[in-house]
Amino acid sequence: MMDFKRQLTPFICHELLYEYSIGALDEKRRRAIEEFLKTDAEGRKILEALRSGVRYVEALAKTDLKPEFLAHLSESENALSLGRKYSSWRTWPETLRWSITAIIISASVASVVAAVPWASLNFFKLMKAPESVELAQIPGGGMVNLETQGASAVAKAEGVASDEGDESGDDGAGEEETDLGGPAAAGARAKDLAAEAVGNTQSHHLGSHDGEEVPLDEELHPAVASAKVLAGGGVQPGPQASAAIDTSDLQEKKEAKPKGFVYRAFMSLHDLDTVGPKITDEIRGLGGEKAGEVELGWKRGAGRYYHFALPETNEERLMEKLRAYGPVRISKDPHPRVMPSGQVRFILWIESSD
Amino acid sequence: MVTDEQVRRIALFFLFSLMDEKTALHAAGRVIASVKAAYPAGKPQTISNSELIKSCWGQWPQHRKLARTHANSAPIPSSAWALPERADLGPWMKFHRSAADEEIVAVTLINILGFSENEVAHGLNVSVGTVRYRVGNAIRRLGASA
Repeated sequence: MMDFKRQLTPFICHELLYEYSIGALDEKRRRAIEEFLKTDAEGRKILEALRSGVRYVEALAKTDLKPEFLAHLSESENALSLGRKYSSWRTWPETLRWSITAIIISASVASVVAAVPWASLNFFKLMKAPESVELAQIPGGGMVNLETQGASAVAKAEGVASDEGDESGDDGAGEEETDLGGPAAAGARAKDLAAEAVGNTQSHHLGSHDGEEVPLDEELHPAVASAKVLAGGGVQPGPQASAAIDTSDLQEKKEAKPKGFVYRAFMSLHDLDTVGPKITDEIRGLGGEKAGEVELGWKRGAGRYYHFALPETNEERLMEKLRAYGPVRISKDPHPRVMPSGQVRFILWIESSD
Repeated sequence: MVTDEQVRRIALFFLFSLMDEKTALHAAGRVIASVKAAYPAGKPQTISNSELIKSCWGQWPQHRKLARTHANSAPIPSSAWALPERADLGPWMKFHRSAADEEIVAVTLINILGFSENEVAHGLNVSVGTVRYRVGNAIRRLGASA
């Protein structure tokens, strides 16, 4: 194979000088350039310039970036990079991650509680009352010691549940109103009806200890009949008469019963120590009488409690008098207790605004 | 993710090739942010040198125009970079005025930032010969004025 000597023009030699300076030429071309440079002054000048240039840029290559600028630039972000950064759950702040976890768990539990039909679950059905409950024992003489029976019923009712309506709260206890189904509610209902019966005979006092016997006339006092039936709670049926009342019958009675109501009023006043007795006098002046166990204007905490019955004709006058002291919020709420004709029942709560 | 060395290279590329600190830092910030978007923190892989060059080159033309508009008012950048002792930016400034943009970019990437010819060729989407030609011309020009 023949080896041709490669002839390079000055132009090509000058163009190849950079590659020559960095050692990127093959052996033949490197020799050719070296031979050329021996005779070409311009080529040597260019080569020197190239070497000088390389030295210069090598010096510049030692330039560094100041740390503060490096740190500043490292924090550079755009919308996309920020989106990517926070799209990963792991990069979120720990407090945020825990908060979201807690919210999700709470929402899940709430959803389950709301979605599950608890009432139709067998386990809860077992806990419900049986369809037929024996509630009362009626003594043979047609008389009932309401004190004893009622107190027993009340004791049972209070042991299990608060009054169905607002009886316990109305009487100053201020307990939360709870409506439980089954025997507990029946006991509570017994208390209510018993109190109602006594209320119709102007007694209203379920728990008095004077041992007074109240004659029961079922025609005059149908509620007493119910109370009589209900008040026996868990007592075993006697030989003379025992009433097993189906809960459906109770429901029918409830539906057939005239619907009562109670006015609930709320005020917020200054200087209750002075105003309270005045309001008490105003109520009494209009024929109001206490309807619960506590006195009119019973002091509870910083407020005053008034539970009273009032002639219906004085209702408007009472409101006028109350409004003279300050704004009154009033609502008419349904209530199982039916007041005698011409009477209305009020529950007034005055809160201290001092 | 972006390493500190990559941040340094991106910043120095724009500082040397634009010779306008404000524009250079702005361009560098945009490139770093775009790289972060493509390679988010938490993922192990980092951008390759060719991709890095491509990203810089993508931002370069528009910022070059911006830098030229600042050319008369902007002083020689000095606050962001730490030049070596006895370094003279005079020849570099002179080179900037006479050299083609491609030559400036090529010599900056290869001789100052130390990327390989292959990486630069791939990043700029040209042949290695073209890169070498541009660098040769640039070095000769620089040597003549240095």
